[in-house]
Amino acid sequence: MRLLSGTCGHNYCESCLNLEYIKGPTMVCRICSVQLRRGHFSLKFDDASLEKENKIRKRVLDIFNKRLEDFNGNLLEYNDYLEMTEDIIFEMMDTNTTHLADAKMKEYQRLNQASIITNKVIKEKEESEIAYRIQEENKRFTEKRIESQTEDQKELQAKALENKKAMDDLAKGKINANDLKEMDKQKSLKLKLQLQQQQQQAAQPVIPTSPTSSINNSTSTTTTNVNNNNNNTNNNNGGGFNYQPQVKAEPTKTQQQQQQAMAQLGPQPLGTFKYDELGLKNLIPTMKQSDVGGFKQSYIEQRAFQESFENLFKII
Amino acid sequence: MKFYLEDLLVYFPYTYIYPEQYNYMLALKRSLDSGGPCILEMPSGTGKTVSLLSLISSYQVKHPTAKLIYCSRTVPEIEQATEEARRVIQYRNSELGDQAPKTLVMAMSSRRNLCVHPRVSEERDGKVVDSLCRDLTSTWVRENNNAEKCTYFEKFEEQGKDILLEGVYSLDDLKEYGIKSGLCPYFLSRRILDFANIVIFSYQYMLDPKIASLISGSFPTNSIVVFDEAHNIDNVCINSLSLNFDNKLLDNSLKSINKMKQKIDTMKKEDVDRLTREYTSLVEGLARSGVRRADEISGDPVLPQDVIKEAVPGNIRKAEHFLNLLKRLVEYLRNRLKPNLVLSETPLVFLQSLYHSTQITSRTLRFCSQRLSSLIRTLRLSDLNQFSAVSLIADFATLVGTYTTGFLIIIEPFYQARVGHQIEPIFQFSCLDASIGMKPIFDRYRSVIITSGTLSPIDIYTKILKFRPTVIERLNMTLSRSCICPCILTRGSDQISISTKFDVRTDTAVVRNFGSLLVEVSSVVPDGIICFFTSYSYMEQIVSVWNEMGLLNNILTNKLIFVETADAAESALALQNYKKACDNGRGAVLLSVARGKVSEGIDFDQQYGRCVILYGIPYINTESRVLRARLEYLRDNMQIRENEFLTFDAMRTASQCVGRVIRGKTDYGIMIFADKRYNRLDKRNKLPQWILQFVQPQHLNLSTDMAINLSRNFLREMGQPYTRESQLGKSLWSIEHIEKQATSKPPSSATTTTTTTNGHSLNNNHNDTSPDINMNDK
Repeated sequence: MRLLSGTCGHNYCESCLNLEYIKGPTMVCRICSVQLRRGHFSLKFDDASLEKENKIRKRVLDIFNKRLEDFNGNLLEYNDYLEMTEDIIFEMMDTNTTHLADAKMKEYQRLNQASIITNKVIKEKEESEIAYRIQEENKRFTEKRIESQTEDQKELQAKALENKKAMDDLAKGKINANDLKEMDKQKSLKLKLQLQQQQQQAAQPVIPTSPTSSINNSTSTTTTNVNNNNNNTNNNNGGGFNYQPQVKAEPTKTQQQQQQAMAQLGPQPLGTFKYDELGLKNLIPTMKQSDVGGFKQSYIEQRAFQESFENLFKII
Repeated sequence: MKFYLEDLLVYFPYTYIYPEQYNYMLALKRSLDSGGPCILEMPSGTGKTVSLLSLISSYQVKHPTAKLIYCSRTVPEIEQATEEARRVIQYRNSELGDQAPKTLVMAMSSRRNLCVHPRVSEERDGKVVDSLCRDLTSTWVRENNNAEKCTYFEKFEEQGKDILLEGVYSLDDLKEYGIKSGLCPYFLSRRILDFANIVIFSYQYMLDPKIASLISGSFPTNSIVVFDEAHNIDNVCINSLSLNFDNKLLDNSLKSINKMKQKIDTMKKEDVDRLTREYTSLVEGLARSGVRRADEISGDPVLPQDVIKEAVPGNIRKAEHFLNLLKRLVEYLRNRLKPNLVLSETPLVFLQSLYHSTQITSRTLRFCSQRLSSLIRTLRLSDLNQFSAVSLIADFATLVGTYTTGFLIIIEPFYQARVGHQIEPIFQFSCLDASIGMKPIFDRYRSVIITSGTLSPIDIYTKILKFRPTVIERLNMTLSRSCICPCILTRGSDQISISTKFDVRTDTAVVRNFGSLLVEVSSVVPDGIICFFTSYSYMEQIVSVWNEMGLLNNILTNKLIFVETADAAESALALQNYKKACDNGRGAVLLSVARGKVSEGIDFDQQYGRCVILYGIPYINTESRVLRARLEYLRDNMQIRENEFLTFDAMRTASQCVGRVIRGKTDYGIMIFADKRYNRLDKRNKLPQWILQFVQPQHLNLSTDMAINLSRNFLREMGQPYTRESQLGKSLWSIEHIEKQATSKPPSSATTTTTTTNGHSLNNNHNDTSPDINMNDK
């Protein structure tokens, strides 16, 4: 049989409670008629003797409550005292010797009336201090949790807001797709910079400034620093002092010229035609409209021309 | 070859050296000179261990008192390091000739790996071996003339005192020496540990306070401590200070308390002397003194500076008083461990409620483990394995009495299959702060070196371990060809984006794309392919869907399929057959789980791993309350955001997984990161430098067909012959190249300003592809 005790302090056995709670979610305490739920009950100690022991212990320790300070910090005496207390508790639990222990306790109580009371006060004070500390801890904890939650939320909101604003602007035509692209690019660039800065700040090794270190020594550590930085920057360009697999070299000036020449040598584009004269201008969507749709404006020009001149060279 | 590194003459046992090895040694040497912690990242398979050992052993020639303590994770890794050390020391001493200093290099492990007793060494379980060994070697057994004794230990007791060894001793060497000379190798190694110049053992001997106080407590403070493969060091620290127990364990400990009680009663009748002797020694505060090596059980579970060195409180001085206290504590804990209730509280709250219901104070609790081991010694208990439960409780008592911050108690019901499919509550006392365990090591030793293949991003390590390194180096892989082909795959062939995000992971489109990716890869890549999933359950789910779709049959036409399971024996068999299939050319696919056994510690070099596919980002299960608590602690105390830590942890697991395929410079492999989230900068940036250097714009945001195309070209390029000559001077240096280095001038001509050009002189000509050769590593 296991005993459970409710919040009101009255004990019920487990099987009775199970029966009681089949009837409904709450029950009324038979003794003090308080409403109790299942969760209000907690397990008593399995071992009934332990329950008893804890009561005795509490009673004895309330009286034998000297502290280390009472012995002027003499640990040996204090330990002897603790042992004596423990012995008395043991005597108390043994039914044969209870009366002996009781007598001892009364005797002690009579002799040490004053110190018992002062120590009791100190003890209470200490406990309230601990309780206060726990409370503070909890408070701080919840505060921090709430704080970080709101922080996270704020960030999410800001992000959502930004997205929404961009979409709205786009819809209203305040910005076009190119602007949006540019904005995204800048944002990612900023992020990259931030990350780099963070990493460099946090991972900056300490430069030892011990007086014994020779010039040689201190320069050597700074050089590692330099190396580090070099590594970092190099890597962003695509890989330190290493083999770089097929890195596209920046087009040199001569190459650019060549490309331009190639473009000039090719067939002249249709762009030189003056389509305005043909009155086609109204058919062409505006820059904004076409960009949003993912077209290049030139395609439309070309297509319009192609369509209009399609039948020109057909042999009829 | 030997060469100067600034003012230090380094003996390197090979004729060629990688440039990164050279730079690694340079960074290491500077950090040793300046002292303080240092953090070094170097790609796996570029001979990290050998450069470390050869530099430090050369450093020891100059500074003979510096002891090297090399910590690694597993026994095979310890063996590997010992073999490497043998080569290094042999070369160094042959070069030095008669002037070679007397050197002792030794590996160290538990009784299980070192025991040579014919009966005891049969056992597989480490705890059983320990307890059997104690039954044969404890003082009281040896006093008894009729009892069975261990002959090896007896002989060690007779002769072991003045044995001084020299040379290199791996675990097997120690055992062999033990059998030959008839001395117990375990106790011998414990004795000579203090004289050894290089000690190689596992993390626990440094980080677990219970063991460390017995083994490494007496090491000199100018020792050099190296943590190799240290990317998981924070978890090791946390595990060594955390403990869990359930109702079954509490029942067991009650049983053993009762057993001890009986023992005390009988002893009171027969041999009161011994109890009183213990009592008087406790009165004088000598709980730990005069304990012989063979008798000690385990050290205090708290860190050395937190052990209180005063007499045990009077209320637990008598044996029966102490047992009564333990019993009350266990009953209280049992009371707290109720099913269907989740609870988390700080140690302070726990202590207060404990005090209110049982009148046990924290001061008393702190002495529990000390008092218990003294009692076990006095009672001369045999078969200590039985008492492991109660000593765990005593350890818990000491920990909870000692630490109030950085720890949390979580009581949580768990589904347990072994107890008749019931929900069983577990009491978890977990450490939240990894820096608590590392602090004494940083404080005590002059040089602490943390090194691994994957330590990016380094700043998080410095934050969670709370230290400021004097030297940080992230070394790249210098290569004359690009042997890694990272592909960040964001879409399937049908352009549908793929991810293992919770809401899309079960989409048929995603699962199908994952499957068709494997089918296509298996038709292109030769030999072995390894796939990592985020969890066992997800793997099972996906594979069953693939089976329904018929994709598995398509894969089977190209390669055999092997699956890793939670069962270790089964996985070992699968692995063995996987390697067989790779060897004979049939080719195989291994489906395994990130954070599983395969993902760490097993190498897939050459044909065993030509391609690794990572399905999704391997985040930890964020539902775990212990993790939640740790995240909160990190945010409150170290300013690490939840997401930041989770991403960091996921990415280090990911880089461990993909790092399995590159185990050397001649090796090559494709790494496919199949999740669209990898494309984001904050994820990608957390990959180690040596992988990032190969991530070019054309490797990003790929779809399956693009990735296959890329792999095909890559494999064709890698298939070309490869010679040593083309490598020389670029990714391979001979002695001539080294002597050109500014930092390698003999000390007479060394100037202080020339060092800056070191990295740049190499930077000029690296554009041609040229093959590699098999050389020194592994």
